[in-house]
Amino acid sequence: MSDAAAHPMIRHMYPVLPQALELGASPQIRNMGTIGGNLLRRTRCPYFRESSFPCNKLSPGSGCAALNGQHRMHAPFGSSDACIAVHPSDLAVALVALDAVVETRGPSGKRAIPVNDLHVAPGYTPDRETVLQHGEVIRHVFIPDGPFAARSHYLKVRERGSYEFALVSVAACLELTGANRTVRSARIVLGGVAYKPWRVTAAEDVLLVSPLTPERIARAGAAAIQSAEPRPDNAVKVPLLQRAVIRALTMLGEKA
Amino acid sequence: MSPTIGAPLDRVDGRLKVTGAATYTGEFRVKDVAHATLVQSTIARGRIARLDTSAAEQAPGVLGVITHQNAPQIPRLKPATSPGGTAIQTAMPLQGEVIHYAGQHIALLVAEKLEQAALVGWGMATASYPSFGVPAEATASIRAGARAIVRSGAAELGTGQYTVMTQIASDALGLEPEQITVELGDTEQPFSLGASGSSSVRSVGPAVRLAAEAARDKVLHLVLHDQASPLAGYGVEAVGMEQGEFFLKHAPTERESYTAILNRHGLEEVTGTGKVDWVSTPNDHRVHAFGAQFVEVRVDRDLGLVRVHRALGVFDVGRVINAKTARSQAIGGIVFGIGMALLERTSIHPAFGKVISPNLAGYLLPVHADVPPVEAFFADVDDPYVNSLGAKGAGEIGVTGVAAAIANAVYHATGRQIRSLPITPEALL
Repeated sequence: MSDAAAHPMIRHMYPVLPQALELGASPQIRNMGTIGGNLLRRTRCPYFRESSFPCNKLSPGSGCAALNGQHRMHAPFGSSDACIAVHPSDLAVALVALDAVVETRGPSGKRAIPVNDLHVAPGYTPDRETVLQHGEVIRHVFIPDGPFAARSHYLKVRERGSYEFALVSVAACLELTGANRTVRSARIVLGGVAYKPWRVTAAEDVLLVSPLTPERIARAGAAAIQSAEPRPDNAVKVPLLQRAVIRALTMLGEKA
Repeated sequence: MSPTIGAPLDRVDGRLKVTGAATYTGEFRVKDVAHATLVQSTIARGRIARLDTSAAEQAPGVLGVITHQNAPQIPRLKPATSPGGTAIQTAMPLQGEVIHYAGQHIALLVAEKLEQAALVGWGMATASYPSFGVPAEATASIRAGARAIVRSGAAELGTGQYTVMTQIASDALGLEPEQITVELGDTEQPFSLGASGSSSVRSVGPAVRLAAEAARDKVLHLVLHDQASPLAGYGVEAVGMEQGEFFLKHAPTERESYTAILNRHGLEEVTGTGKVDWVSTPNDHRVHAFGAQFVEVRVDRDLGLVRVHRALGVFDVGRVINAKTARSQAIGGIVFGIGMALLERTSIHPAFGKVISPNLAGYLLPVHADVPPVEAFFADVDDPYVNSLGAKGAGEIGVTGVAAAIANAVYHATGRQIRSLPITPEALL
């Protein structure tokens, strides 16, 4: 992770990526952590980590202690009645925003999987977290040189100044053209809110083929949270997401 | 002249003003504008020795910082001559390093948006923490070779107790700190309670002092009754002690060392014991440590995030036994206060009755990124009502009041009075 974050070409072509890497772990962990390992890291749900609580991910059928316990850090998107945990990786959020694809190798050969399709919805089987088969490993990550990659930003919101997972995060990319800064393409992906990086195409569509204005940005912020299904303790994530999307897009608009 | 002149016309802007819809000068939109916030001198007279603007310049959205070092020069105004002087300001701001008055502008922070330069809050709180006198015992043994061993069952849990007990024994024995070994933490050693309630210096300290004085006085008794000693026959009041040697105050060259007297008497060591009991203070006194805490916070208005930007505490813990470890203790307390105010929470699962995050991965303490420059100072005054040391204990006064000061600073910055901890985005959005 340290090597990727420091690579001059990566820093130049995909600013969102080193930002997510550097905000994603302490230097010591970055020095040891791998890109594939970070994509496959497991949830920080305290009921999953503290094994004396029931957890369908850890022990299928045992129940979910988060549903009726404190769940401030849990998912307002894509959860099920069996599991409301979130994926903790910052890197994965940036890679989905960049349309990255992983190449795997397993018993049945090579295949390519978009990072956006790597994780599977919890449904009734939250113990199954990715589409990878037994014995299948991530060998490469391919990042296309998309027209939006250079104007990209990762915004991580957390209460502790460092060394903490996202309460919410946003990876945003914009391709702006012409004097009136028309949005040709956009990626808005939310982190810390679902079992996977949560791309909000509804918010991207609001921006498309229109000049980037504060009004458009505000509408994109509203669209990003349209389908949120917060629970009592994690309701704060919804307005935070809206504000984080607005700030990330505003910062991208202000970039030279 | 038309009848309009002189007519009792209502204020034409009256409705706008009382409904809040009126536009004031500061609210007009200006194209291509940058925003600035002024930094003012906090002293009334002096000289700017150094200005460090690097952190401000690196903040996102900041366009630059203007100070006297880079501001364009303005011709100095000539004072108008009038009898009795003039009230016109002739020294313009940002034109030199001299401070002429409190509040003089010394820097201009220019940013793309006003928000980037704002939502700063200051807060303070008082602090008071009781000082407990609890039972404690200690022994001190003076050995030939000018060494001493101090023992107590008290516990050192990282606060510096070995060091301060060494200092207290050193003071009473007249030996250097490196000649003294303190042994703590074993229940075989003389009885003492655990390290709690800021009571160790207050209680174990006097026990160590009594033990050391008892050992010293036993040796002195030998000296004064040993006909081979140059100090024989003198009274206790005629004798002083320095660097492991007793000496006659009126004839300081007449000396007797711990080592010499122990050797002459064939003694390996002489041990004294010290004991203090529950201390009850007089009814008309309460023994407390006191303090005042000051913080500056920055609040991200959109995201409801609070960061402490600087903190300072001033404390009265009676006499300070060790200026370095006491300061570290106080700074550590302030760091804990930051965690208490902004991060730490213990949640119990309502169905299982268990703590949800029983580890430091889920229970958040401040990390370096949360801790700003912290300063701590002590009044360092003797408290005659406490104990023979005049020292009240510094363990917990450092954290006391920090959360209240931070909450007050958040109130100053945002106008919101938060009454429960930790202060989270939920409360500030």
